[in-house]
Amino acid sequence: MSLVAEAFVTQIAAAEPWPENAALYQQLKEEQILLSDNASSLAVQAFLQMCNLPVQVVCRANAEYMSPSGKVPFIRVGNQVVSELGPIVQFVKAKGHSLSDGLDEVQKAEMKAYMELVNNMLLTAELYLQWCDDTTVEEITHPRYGSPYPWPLNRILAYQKQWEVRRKMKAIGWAGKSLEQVLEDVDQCCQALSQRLGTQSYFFNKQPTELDALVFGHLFTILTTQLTSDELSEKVKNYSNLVAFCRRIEQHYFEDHDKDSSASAASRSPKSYLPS
Amino acid sequence: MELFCWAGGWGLPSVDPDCLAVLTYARFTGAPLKVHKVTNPWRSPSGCLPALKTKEEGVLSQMHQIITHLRKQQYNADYDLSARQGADTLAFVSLLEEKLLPVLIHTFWVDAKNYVEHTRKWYAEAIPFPLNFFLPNRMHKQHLERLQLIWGESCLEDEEELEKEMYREARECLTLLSQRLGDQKFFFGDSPASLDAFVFSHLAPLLKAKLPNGKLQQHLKSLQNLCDFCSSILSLYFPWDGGDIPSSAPKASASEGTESEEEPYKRRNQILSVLVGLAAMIGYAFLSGIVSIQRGPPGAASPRPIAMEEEEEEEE
Repeated sequence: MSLVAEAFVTQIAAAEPWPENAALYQQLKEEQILLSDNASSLAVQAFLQMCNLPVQVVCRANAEYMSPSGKVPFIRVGNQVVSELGPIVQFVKAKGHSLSDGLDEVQKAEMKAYMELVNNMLLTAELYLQWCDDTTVEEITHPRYGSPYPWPLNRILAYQKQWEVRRKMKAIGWAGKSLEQVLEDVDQCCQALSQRLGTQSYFFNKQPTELDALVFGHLFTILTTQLTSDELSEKVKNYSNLVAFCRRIEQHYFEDHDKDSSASAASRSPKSYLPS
Repeated sequence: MELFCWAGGWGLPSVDPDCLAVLTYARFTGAPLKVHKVTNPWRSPSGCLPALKTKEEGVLSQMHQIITHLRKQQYNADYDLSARQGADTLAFVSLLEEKLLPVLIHTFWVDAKNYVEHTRKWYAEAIPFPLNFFLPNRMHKQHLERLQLIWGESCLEDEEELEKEMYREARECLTLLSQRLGDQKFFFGDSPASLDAFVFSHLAPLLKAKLPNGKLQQHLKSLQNLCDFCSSILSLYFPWDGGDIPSSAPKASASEGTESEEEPYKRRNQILSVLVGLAAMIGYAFLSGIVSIQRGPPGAASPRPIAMEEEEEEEE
C-alpha cells in the first residue's frame, strides 16, 4: 500500500466507531498456544481492556497463518485486520483512543525504549526457552505446537518453526548463549523494569499505558505458566513490586469484567493450563 | 589486552559500528588497550572483528561481551549512574538495536546505490588482495540474510512498504534520541557513559559517510544536538585519528597513495598469472605431442585448436 492509500485507509478507520463484534484471534488456549504467543495475546487483551474497547477472544488452530504478518495475536475490526501490539496501538489511536496522550516527549521516548527492552529481552528469552532449550522443546513445545494436526503434519510444522526460530536466534547472536546467560538477561531486564516502576502503581503517572499492558502480558504469563523448571518465574518473583503490579492489573482489568471470561479463566486456573 | 578492529575511514577511527562502540567505550574509561586496526578480518584471532584478546578469558568476539569484560576489569563508565539511569541505558540500547541498527545495516549494505557506490568500494579498496574479491560480497549476503530474518520473510511482497515503514520508525527513533538528549552534553549529565558510546557508534558512520542515497542521513543532520554530540565526542576523544590512521594498516584510507601502492602489486600478480597460464598450456601442448615443431610448412607448427584437430585426424 502506498502512503496515500494508507492515509486513506486510516481515515476510513477513524471514521468508523469501534464495533461490538471486534474479535481477537489466537491459537487454542488449552492445548496449543505457547508461552511467547500467550504473552503477546494477553498484552493486547490488557491494552484493549485499558482502553475500554470490547473484544472477543476467538481461538483458532491456524491463527498464525491467518495473521497478515504471521504473528499472533491479530484483531479483526469491521473489515480490517491488524496484527501485533505496535500496529494495533496505532490503529486504535486512529480511532481516537489513546493511553499515552498525556505523556510529554521525553516520557514517550522512555516508553518506546522500555517497550523495545521488553521485546528485545523478554520476548527473545521466551522464544529461546521454547525453541532452543532441548528439554522444553521435547516435553512442551513440540507436543503443543502441532497438537491440532494429525501425524506427520504436527512433527513437520513443529520442526519447521523450530528451524525458523533457531535461524533468527543465530542472526541476532543469541544462538551461542547458554540457558544461564539467557536467565541472567531476563534478570537484568526485570531489574531494569523494577527500578523504573519503583513504588508507583503504573509506569507513568497514575494511568496505565501500552507499556503497562505489554509488561503485564509477559510477566503474568511467565508467572502463571508451568514449564519444565521454575527458574524463569523465580527470576520474576524476586522483584516484589513487579508481582504486585501484575496482581493489581489482573484485579482491576480482568476480574472486574465478567464478560471477559476467557482471560480470567486463564488467570484463575494457571496449573491446568499446561501439561508439565 | 589487545583489540583487533576494522580500520578507520570517512573521518572516523573505525568504520564498523561494533568496533567503534568498543573503541569509544575504552576511550571513555581510559582502559589500556593495544589497538590493532586491520583491514583483513582473517588476521584477527577469532576470524571476525571486533575481537579482544585477553589473558584471562581468551578471545572475546561480540561487542557486548567485550564491554562486559572491560566492566569486570574495573573499567566501568556506568559507575556513577543511578539505578534508574542504568535501567534507562538498557532500554535505550534495546531501542537502538531494534529500530535503528537494522535500518543502518540496510542503508549501508542492502540499499543498492549505497552499497555499490560507497560501502563495497571502500571495503574492496581496503581489504588486501585476493580477499577483496569475495569478502565484501559475502558480508553483503550475511547482512541481507540477517535483515530478512529480523524483518520476517512473509513481508517480501510488500518490500517497498516495509522499507518505508522501517525508515519511518528509524527517523522516529532518531527524533526520540534527540529529545532525550536535549541540551545536555551527554545522555546522563556531564560525563560519558556506555549509552553515549552506543549512540555515538551508531550515529557517527551515518553522519560522516558520504552516502549517495542518504534520506536517513538528512534526517540525522537536521537534528542539530545529535550532530553536535557526535562532533564533540570525536574532537574530545579521537582528535588525531579523524581521517588517515598513522598505524599499522597502510591500506586504511581510500587515498590515491594507497591505490598506487596497490596497483603495481596487483598488476604484477595479474601479469604473472597470465604468463604462468600460457607457459603451462604451451608446455603441455609440446609435451603431449599435440604440437610439434617440424621443419616443414608453417601451418603444421601452429598450436591452434582447429589445426590440431586436423592434424589428429590426419594422424589417425
